[in-house]
Amino acid sequence: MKRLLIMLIAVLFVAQAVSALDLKTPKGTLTLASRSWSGVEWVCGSQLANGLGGRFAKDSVSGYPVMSMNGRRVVFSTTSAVASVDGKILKLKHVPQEESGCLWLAVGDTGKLLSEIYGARIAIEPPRKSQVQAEAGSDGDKEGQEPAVSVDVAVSSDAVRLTLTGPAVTSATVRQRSGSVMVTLSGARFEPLSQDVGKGVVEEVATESGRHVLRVNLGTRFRHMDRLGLRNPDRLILIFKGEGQTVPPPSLEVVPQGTTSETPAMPGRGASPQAAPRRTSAFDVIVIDPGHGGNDTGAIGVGGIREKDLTLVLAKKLASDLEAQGFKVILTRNTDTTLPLMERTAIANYNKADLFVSIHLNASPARSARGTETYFMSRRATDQWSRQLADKENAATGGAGSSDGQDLKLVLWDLAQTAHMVESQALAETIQKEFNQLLNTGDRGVRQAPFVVLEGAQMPAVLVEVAFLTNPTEAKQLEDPAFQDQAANALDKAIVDFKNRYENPIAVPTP
Amino acid sequence: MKTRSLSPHLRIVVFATVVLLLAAGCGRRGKAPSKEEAPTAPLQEQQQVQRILLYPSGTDMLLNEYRVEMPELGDREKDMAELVSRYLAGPAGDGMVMPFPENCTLRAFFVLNGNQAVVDLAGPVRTGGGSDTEMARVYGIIDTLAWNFADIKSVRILVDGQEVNTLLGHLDLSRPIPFEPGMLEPSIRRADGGGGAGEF
Repeated sequence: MKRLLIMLIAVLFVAQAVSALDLKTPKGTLTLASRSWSGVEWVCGSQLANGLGGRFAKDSVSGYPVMSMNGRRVVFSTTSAVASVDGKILKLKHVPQEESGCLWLAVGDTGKLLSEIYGARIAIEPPRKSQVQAEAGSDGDKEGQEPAVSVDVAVSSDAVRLTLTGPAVTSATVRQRSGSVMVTLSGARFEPLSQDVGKGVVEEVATESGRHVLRVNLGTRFRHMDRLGLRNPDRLILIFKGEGQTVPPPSLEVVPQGTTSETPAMPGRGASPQAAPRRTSAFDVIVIDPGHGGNDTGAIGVGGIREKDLTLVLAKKLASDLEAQGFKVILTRNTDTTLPLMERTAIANYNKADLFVSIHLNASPARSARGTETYFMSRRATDQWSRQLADKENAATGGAGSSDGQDLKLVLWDLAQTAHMVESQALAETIQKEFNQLLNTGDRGVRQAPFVVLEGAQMPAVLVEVAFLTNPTEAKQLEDPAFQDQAANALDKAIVDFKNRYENPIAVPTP
Repeated sequence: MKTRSLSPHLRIVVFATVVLLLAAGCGRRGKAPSKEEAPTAPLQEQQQVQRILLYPSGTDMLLNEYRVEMPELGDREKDMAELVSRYLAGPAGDGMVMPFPENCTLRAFFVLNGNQAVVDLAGPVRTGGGSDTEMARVYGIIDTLAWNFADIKSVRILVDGQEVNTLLGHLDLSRPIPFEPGMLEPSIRRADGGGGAGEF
């Protein structure tokens, strides 16, 4: 009987307007926020969960959206088109989107998820096209001919960041007026948006003029706007900054330099809350990971020097350099302590770092091997793992099921870096360039590998092998404080250069 | 200097012993497989086949070809296992670098779904350090298998029968790792990025 009711729900799921969908349930009508992006209809999954007696929340550790319904636990990835229902992987057609306080799910995917949750086949009909187009405006006929530009709004305590993604968006005109900023597209439209931000820096973001214009109403705390354009995909990022506030909240447990705490900035690790550093820009939190530590000595070099000791020395020197320039720096460890690889990445994710740099020293059976090499995540490996995930999903659809912990781990962590590989590669190349110029070490180039410490990072992430402990000349250099300063300086310069390139990579037209 | 020549009978015995040892993967450092893994076909019927082992050949640790003659055992999995055992025995000179320490052996070998090799290693495979060392060890085995057997698309590495997250603290071994042509010397890379099997 219950299954029958659920099936009725699905069949009667009918659109009434572009901004709302009505879901008929045995307990009445549930109205859900909806929207259309790039020809796909989306519903607010958070509302869906609440409306059907479930619960929606963020996982306190991983930060991933979690929905609890009908006794089932659904974990969503916001970087891959997958979800996990009690550990069973479901491949979705579209990546769930977090925005405006909702987790947006494609209508088609919602049916698939409900089918899994309730154990019955549920098909959901998308909104009727005629209704969508009528809502779009009088010139709705042209809508299908013009590419869509999506708008993502991210709000922090002292800044609002708009990410506009779509074809040729970097050629948009950005005009600042008194109290507002207008972004005008030519030959493209914004996807429908009307969002009350209400954070004092930005009050409202909305489309107008047939969705060719995005209007950003500025708040009283607005002080400055930065803009940058990025390629692959084309993105225009607008960062509206306020007066500046102390971040993060006390519970973040930032470990500043010079402390002796063995625990880095992670929740539940028992470190004492410290006064949070002031945020200086939108790109300012850097996590540095001194490789190995504790029981894991890493490589042993000429004369018995240990990798774990020297990586810590280099990391502290780099942190000092970066802090002097206003960056907030977090070390994954600042003493000789054992730290699991995935926990290092988790520290960066938890602190919402803008960059993750893991410092290592190399070793080789070929004792004459020398030079610096910088790694970023392997595309080949991640491609294969994605295919394996899809294969598992197909097997699950066929009734075989797939619910071991490895799958859940895969969704939660392992593919996170794929969204940042372009930036990671750029960072790796910048580091190599600086080492070549500043240290004149042998250039072993930028390489890719499926390194554990990189794959879960939700930000540009690299692993630097500074030099070879097994090379007598380089081992001697690595023990020299002057060389250590130079190496830290090369990394510092590369990070600053990357920040500048990241924020100003291509020219954005100004009126 | 006078040398004693071996009798024809003794020569055959010595030759057979050497071939048997090679076929069993008991090279310079390798450990002979168990009786169950030993070839059962009569010695004189075994075909010799040229295999390519990929070892680092210089300070860049990129993998280069090291050709060996090995018996073809008539069983695909056994041929692969012998290849790995032979790999762990190390190269003999020729400027090649052996990435594994001494006394590393193949504990078990099998193939899943026809294209994923599972290599179970034993011995001090986790001693040492450095990304380059770890990359050379892991991809030395993976690329060698894929280079000789084109249907092998990825390799899962176990140590002492157990799953390991990493060998030396860098590479993720919790999942099978695909063939990586980027680890090969440019001179031997194929344009299509595939393995080298089928060339001989």
